[in-house]
Amino acid sequence: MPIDIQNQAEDNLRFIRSAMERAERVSAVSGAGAMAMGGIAVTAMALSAGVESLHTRLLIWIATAFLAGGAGAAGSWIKARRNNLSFSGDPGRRFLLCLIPALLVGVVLTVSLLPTQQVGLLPGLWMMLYGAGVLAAGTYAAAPVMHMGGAFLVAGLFAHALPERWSNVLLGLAFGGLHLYFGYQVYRHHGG
Amino acid sequence: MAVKASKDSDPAPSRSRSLQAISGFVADDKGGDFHKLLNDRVRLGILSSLAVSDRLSFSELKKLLEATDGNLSVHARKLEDAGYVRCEKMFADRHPKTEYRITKAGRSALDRYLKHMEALIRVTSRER
Repeated sequence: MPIDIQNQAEDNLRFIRSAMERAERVSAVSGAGAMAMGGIAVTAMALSAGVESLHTRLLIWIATAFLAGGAGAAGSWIKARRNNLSFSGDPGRRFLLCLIPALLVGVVLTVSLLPTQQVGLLPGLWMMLYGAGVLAAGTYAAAPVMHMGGAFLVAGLFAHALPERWSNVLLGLAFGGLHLYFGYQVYRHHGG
Repeated sequence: MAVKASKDSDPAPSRSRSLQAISGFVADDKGGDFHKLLNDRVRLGILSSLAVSDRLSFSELKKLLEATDGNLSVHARKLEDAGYVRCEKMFADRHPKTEYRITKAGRSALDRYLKHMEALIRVTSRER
């Protein structure tokens, strides 16, 4: 008899967790916004492909990050408005709280490493820090968001392992390709 | 020491205390039997979904919980009557829209329900 009660209680807790997860997937991250971020990153890869200087290429990518961040935020705002959800509601706020610390570390490392000989480390660090932030924030979003965070971590490892000349292509594949692919998954299966 | 010895030799008092602790979760502050109210999957689903979303429309809840219109509206009304959710009716693009939000009382009831489930698991694990 106690086992039945325990099983029922566990089953109820599982049901609550699953209901909460499904409900969170309706809100927060915008797939269209992520795809726009991917499109911007692919453009940046094309623009910086012909640039010789690593510094200039990275500056293009820094500008791209701000532009893409704006597109992602706009996408989430539009999605929240369309679904009559508050952009600053609980899931959105928790998502940002998980994402922002990793991005801030990225900014500090970028400012510190840009004038040094270690600047070549930046592409890999960007991917891994963004991946870590998205992976943590993905706890409060649709499943593909968390998978995307994991994929960025792997891409960052590749960027560290491969020679520097691959960095532009890897940045394009990661920030372009992964945003496009996972953005489409969110758009298609998680409410736009 | 004597108490400890009697505990070891007879688990009944400890069990009774545990069960008393569990039953303490069952009634809410107003004396309402919130446990009965939340012991239904649709009502529990509504409250759990609203706990993590700022607000959800009737159609979103229907899709999330795979419930029929009639079933969802009956259960949502029960939660509304208990003061656990707030219902807002409006027009969006000339179409009527119903949205639900969880209230402070609803959040507290869900919290107590969760604690109750956890307490049940703790006590029954000890007895196994």
